[in-house]
Amino acid sequence: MKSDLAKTVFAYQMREDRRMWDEVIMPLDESLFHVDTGYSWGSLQRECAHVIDAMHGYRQRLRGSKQISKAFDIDDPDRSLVRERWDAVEAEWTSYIVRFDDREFDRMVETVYRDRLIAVPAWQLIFQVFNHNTLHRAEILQIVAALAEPVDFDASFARYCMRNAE
Amino acid sequence: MEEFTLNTESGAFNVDFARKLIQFNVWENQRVWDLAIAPLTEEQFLREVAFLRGSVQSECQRIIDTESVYLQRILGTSPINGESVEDRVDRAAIAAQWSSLRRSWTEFAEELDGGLFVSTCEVETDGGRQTMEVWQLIFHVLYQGTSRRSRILRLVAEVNQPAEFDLSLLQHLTGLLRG
Repeated sequence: MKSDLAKTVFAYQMREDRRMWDEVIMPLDESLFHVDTGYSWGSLQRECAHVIDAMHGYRQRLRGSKQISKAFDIDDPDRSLVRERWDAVEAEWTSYIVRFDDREFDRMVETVYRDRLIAVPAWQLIFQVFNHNTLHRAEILQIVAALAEPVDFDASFARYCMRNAE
Repeated sequence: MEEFTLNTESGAFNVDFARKLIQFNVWENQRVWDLAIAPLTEEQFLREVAFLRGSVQSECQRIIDTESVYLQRILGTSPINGESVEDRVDRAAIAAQWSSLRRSWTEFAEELDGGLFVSTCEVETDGGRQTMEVWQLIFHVLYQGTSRRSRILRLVAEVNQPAEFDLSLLQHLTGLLRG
């Protein structure tokens, strides 16, 4: 049951992430993707790269890795490469989540967080990713508003649930 | 990816994770208020930032409205629709109401159990009355809280200076704070 909830929330997150890419980021001129706005990670490029790194890093933590590698090995990826990498990391998560069950939800994971060795249940790492992506979707919308214009982006979880119930 | 439906037939289960997520929402609201909003002048608190279409005051009001309306929906004390309470521009009044809401959500988290978590309540929408599950309303509040706190920190950076702390669920759960 708890794992079903995590799957529902993951499906919502994936839908919102894709909508953000398709409706907000991709219609922008490519040059705007690289503009440093001076807040948080600065540019859409760096903001998106940070989210990908986090998703990739927490997936590694769930696999038991103590050494977390970056998702990119080049310094200045263009938008299509960032999107490609985002989709690849998302696919890693999807393959994990579809097999997810209640035992995995509560499995204790030993990992490193803020330079400290900690042991936490898997659900805490999973919901960290859900929360982190939500936080950064909001930041990405703020960056787009600063670069271009405010975007009407309805990310209501309640409305998402209602639509699925119809 | 397929859409999943929560299986509510499996009887009682441990909702400690949901309790912790609600406590996180309460904690982070307080943290944002104390570290980012309280230091603002009244003018900074009320200042509209055009490109963000809002002010710190209006974002606080939206969080309060959602947390208030959704808790009433869950508890069945109305309103079942999403009508906002009256506009509040006074910071002391907003602080008092938000503080009261934090206590209400904390009490709700303490009393939350598996039965309540998967129970249903009625919600009025533009398309008519709809039945929703309590866990869906809880997660709606959690998501909107995270998004709006992000907006508040951006607004604070625009009217004052960037906050020197970050927003993170795991830092709350582990106690490993930065800033």
